[in-house]
Amino acid sequence: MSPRRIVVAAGLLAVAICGPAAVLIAAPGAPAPMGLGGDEEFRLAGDGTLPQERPALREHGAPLSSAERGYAIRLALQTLPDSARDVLDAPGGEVLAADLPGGRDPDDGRRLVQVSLYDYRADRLQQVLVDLTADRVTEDRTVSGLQLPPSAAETEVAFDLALKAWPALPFLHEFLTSTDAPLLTMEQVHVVAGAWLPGGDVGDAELSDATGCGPDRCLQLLVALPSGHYLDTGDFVVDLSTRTVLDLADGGTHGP
Amino acid sequence: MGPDPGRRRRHALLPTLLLSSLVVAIPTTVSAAETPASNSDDLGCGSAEVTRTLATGSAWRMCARIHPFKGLVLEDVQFRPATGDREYAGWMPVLDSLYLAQLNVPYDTATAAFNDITSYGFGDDQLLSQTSETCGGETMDVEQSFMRGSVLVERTVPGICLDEVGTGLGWHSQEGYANSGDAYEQRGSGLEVSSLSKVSWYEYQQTITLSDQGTVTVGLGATGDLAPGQLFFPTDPTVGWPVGPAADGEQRHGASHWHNATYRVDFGIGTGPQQVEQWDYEQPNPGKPALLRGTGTVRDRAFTAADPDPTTWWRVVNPTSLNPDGHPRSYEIVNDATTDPYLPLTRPVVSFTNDHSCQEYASMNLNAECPGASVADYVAAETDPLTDPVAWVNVGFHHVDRDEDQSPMPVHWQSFSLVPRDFLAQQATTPRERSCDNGMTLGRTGSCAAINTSPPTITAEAPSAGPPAPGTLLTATTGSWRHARAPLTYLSLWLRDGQPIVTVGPDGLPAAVTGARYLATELDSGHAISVQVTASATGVTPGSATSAPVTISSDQPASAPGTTTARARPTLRLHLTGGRADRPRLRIVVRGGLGPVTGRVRIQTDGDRGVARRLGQGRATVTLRRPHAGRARVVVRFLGSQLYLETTATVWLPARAPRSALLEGGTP
Repeated sequence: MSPRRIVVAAGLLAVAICGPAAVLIAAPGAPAPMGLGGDEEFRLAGDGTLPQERPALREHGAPLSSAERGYAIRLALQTLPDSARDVLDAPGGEVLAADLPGGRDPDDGRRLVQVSLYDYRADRLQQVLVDLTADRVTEDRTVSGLQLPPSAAETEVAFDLALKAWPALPFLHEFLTSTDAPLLTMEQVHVVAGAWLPGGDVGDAELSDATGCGPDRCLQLLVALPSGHYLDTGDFVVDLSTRTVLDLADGGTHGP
Repeated sequence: MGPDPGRRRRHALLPTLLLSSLVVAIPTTVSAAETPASNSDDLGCGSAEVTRTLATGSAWRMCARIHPFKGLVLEDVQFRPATGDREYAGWMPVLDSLYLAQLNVPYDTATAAFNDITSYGFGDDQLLSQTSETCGGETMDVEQSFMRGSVLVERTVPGICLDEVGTGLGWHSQEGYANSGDAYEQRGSGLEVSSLSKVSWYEYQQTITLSDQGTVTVGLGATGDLAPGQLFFPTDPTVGWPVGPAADGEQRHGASHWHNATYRVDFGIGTGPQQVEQWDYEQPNPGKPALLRGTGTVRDRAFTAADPDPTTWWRVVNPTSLNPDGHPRSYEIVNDATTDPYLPLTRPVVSFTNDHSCQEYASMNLNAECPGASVADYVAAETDPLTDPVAWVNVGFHHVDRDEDQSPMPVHWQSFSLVPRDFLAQQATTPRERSCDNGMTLGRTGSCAAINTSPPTITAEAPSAGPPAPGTLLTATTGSWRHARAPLTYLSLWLRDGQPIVTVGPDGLPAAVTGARYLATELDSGHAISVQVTASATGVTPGSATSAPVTISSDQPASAPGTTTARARPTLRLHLTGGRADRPRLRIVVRGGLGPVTGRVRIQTDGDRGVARRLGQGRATVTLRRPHAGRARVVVRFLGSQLYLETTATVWLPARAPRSALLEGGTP
């Protein structure tokens, strides 16, 4: 992605349309909320944009600075095809992670960063190894069905899809009876999301069918009231690839 | 899966498996191989480096950081025992890396299972800040940044706790019985490195405790809250435990569940290729049920230890890194935790593969080079001999909820340990008193080293009140010393302001002032005088201890009799024997009130160059030559010492007439 496209993508975030569901994301310059509390201490790194120039590099084994991470993400995004889209359907991939790669060789003086991106257009993960010392990408792998923990934006999109699903999901009713108020926005609750794959390590055949999750990118939502009481959200997952809510109890879907 | 191009350098340099039979041929290369891999000033990980010397003297250093998914990660873990160079110089590598590679949480209801590491992650905003309650030591800042929408956000939080903790009784050895004899005892200490992450209702403390004995204990503590809602509170009593009161006549049950933790332990003991050794035990004779025979086997291929015998254990050995006894260094895996026997991933106690950089997670692997793979896949794909071992250690905990687990849930723990086995020739904090106990020395008592238990003291014999002044006689004790394996002898060296006091010896050369007594001089005015006692014996490591200083007043000298001058005047007696012989003998006796007189006397006859004799117990003897005629004047001069003044006496030696002479001298 060119620098210009990144700026354009940032601008699109003010109000983005994700399939048929409208999702409000905070404007650039103000980190989007993740529900109640806990996020106040995050602030923009610089002006929030990815660095254009390679920053000063730390020792090869030191934790990444924000500038190093941001610059590595910039280089990694440039490996995606022009058709790539993030969770908001904006050009570019969804950035899932950027950190030092595992298996660091203590004798390797290179400053390496592993960046993981998700292209929603192709429904594939792109994992890129960036050599900041050489100022270039050295490895680039694309795979399907590899689902990393979600980004903040993915969590927000998934929650919004769950809010708007029809028939309404039971946790909304549970919220209403618990608080005497309807659940309308993410700011009313704490939300944690995890990548969901059918069966997982338990190998349960009953949990392995009926969904397209795995090849599709699905999230499970864990939603808590301000009191700390968790709502019952174990009966559905959100398929971000298809923008649908899947009922785990009967295998059906909840439409928007 | 083929060889990983990113494999560690040492693996590439030594690609061939060392067979057991070759081990004995290796010592010629030991000195080079045993050189600690890194004695550089730092580990190259900047702010992530942790170096701590524990109260008991052992030390650890490593890189500690928070990964977005794995949470707490330790890399380049190195150990230095309190015994220091007695084992090896500097730091010795132990682990290349250590982290939680999966946390699988299936509920007994079979309605839900979570992979907390690969689906949620322990870093980023799951990481909780340390507080004074969560961290009893010092905190380490963690810099985090990630994309939130199209913007890059960041924070710096105190995300890692570094706490030196007591580990209880370190060791105790009582000589004799019923509190007789010396006791050797010490409390242990360890460096606890921890972080705290919140994944929905559960919160986890990742804790790695690195002890002063070189043991690494890896623990996962679960706290937070029990799982909520209808899904996790079924009515079926077989899959849970009644928690809380019944409501509307219905008792609900907190669902039982597993915390299946899999750790990835990448060993890096010393330098060079390593081996995995398995020890199995056999009971060959039912008539002798106590008889157990152990057999060690080098496992040179990747394997999964499913359903091993309870007595089987494993260690990772570096056959080319030998301790001072010549034994190869190793670390043993001690895992007494329960493992979930119902899942292929978690059933094995441990699995071993080589280190491949793409094999990062125990299951649902998030590395695109080995996507979605699990430990079983890694084992099946490994084609190389095991020379760079990674242990995948399963540590489970089956949580059957209790009423007492309700909010906030008390922490429940699951853990395993990595224990040094022959990594050192002796235990890491072996006191000097036991430094000679290596091998068949058991049963001997007494310290191997001269160990002072109370320091020497100085007594001033000044009669008047106030601080000692020039002319004061100072007397030192040797202090108290631990019972040693041979009787100790002591040498007392007097110090002025911490430096040896030097005087001019009888031979005219500078000499340090030694002995139990010292007479303060004008040179000591305003200075601190102390005594350093060195204790030694054959076969015992010498030791020394220094007294508290005594400051000599710069005021009036002490005025006690015998100490009104700087030194006391001795009595010099001469006794000529030998009758009429041409070569009579002159016996010289020097005595004084400050104790035995030491030093030298010089004997001159009629002003010749004379001869010198050293006093022994204040006595000396010299043979003279009679003059041919008349008489000769023999002058005997005591040359003085630190305590006694110079003194002279004279005797006349006749040419013939034999007679005894006894003169008391004399002129100062």
